[in-house]
Amino acid sequence: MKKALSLALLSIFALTASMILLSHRSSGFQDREAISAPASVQHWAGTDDLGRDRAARLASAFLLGLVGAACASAITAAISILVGVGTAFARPRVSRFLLYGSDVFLGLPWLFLLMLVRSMLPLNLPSHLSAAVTVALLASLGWPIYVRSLYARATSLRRADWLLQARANGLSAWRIGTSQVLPHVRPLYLTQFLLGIPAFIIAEANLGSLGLGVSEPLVSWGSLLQELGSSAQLGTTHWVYLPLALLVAILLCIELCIPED
Amino acid sequence: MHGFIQMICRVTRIVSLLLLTTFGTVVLMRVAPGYFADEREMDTQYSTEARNAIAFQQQHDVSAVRTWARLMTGVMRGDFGVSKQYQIPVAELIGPRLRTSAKLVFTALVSGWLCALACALPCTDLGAAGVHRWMHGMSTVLLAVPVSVMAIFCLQSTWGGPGSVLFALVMVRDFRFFSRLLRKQSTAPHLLYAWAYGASASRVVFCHVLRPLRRELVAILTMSFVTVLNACIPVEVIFGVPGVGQLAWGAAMNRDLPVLLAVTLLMALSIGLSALFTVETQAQRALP
Repeated sequence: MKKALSLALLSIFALTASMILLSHRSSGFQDREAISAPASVQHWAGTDDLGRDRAARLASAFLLGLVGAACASAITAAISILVGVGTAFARPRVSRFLLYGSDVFLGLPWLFLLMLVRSMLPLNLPSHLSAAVTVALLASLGWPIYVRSLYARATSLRRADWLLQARANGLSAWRIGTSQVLPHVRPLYLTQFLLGIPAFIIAEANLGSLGLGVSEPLVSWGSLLQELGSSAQLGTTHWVYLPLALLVAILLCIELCIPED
Repeated sequence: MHGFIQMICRVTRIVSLLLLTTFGTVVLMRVAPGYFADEREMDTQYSTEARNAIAFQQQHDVSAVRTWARLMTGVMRGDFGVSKQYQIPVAELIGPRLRTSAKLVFTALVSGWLCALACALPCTDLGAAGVHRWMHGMSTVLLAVPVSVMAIFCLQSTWGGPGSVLFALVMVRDFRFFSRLLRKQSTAPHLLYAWAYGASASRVVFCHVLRPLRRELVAILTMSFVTVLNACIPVEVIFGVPGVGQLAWGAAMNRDLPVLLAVTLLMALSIGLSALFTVETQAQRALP
């Protein structure tokens, strides 16, 4: 019931966001006549200090954040399946080396690395490239977390009778992997995919609020939350809190969609 | 003998983590745009000879491997180099800041961990489902707020400080783990025997609930340490705390390689040692 409600709510958010953007409201357009304006018919959630429509920016950030986090999570899940399942079926030395490598990777201070790598990039990076780089960074640092659990599951499958029979029947390793093993680890990597989405949204929001996320004119949660750092804005209108409230609501909905076990 | 080999493997893992992290940092810095540019070369106050000397010095840093080897050799001698930004030895920069950050991190970690445990204990009573749901809901909401936003809020509202933000982060995360662990443990059959024999509540909690979970509790402490270490960077930057995190941030923005390398080494060493401590504690418990 909770899962269905959360999914319905997320769908409503996505539909509303799409409708806002399709109704010719641009997230980058600056209405100089309405700087830091309150909510009105023209600007449903008011405008920011540059006259940009807050509702359009929210819609843009929501869609970009969800799609970006989903892509990063999918890449992470794919890499962890490759490494986790591959390690379980590889030779002992290779699997020890791969597990050792993933543990070493897991020991790296990932937020520090994210900040480091992102700050190394040029400040004038085009916004679409900065979005792609942010997604790639999050994906490249998130995969070791899930490798151990996939490895454990795949190891238990390796000793299964039906797998031995498949091998005895002459099925190729690729065929065994894709048609026999993957369906059994699907619940695991689907859960990990769902767990990764809120984690990556928060990571991007953390990076963006420090100025290291997706660069303008593309809008992200981080750039919206930067408004909270301005005392002048906080004193003028309560609509500045809307991005935070929406972010919390969306993350709660995603969390409720994740199976508890 | 087996224990000795295991210890060697763990130490090797930490050393390889340090080497990998530092090498990665050097490579990143080298490929970053603007690394070879020195603003002094564009300053007309410097003579031609001085500018040539600066350019010659930059050429020494061409190879990443050579740069890394030179820096690591210095580190092993205790010489972390001189900060490009501040022109003072890196060790002098990091020393006082390390004390500030360490105090912040450990205070937040220990208080958050203990508070989370204290909040999770009432939830072990299976009749307290309402309490558990309420606290779980609160922790879910707080977890959804990015740590940098929490820091900005505290700064703007002058409520709390960097320690409060880190404390809240640790408490909320650890509460989720503890409540799950303790609720599972509270259904163990031996607890019913303990209650039936008239054991006091404190005895049941400490001897029969917490004691069997000590390995997991230590593991959660290690995970929280890594979380706090990561989170102290944005928190120190936002609050302007003169700690290692703020230093790292400044060094990353200004391409100050010696400082960055020292901070990366410090972070990787802390994380590696905390993992080693956890594994050691678990290994010791596993021995007869």
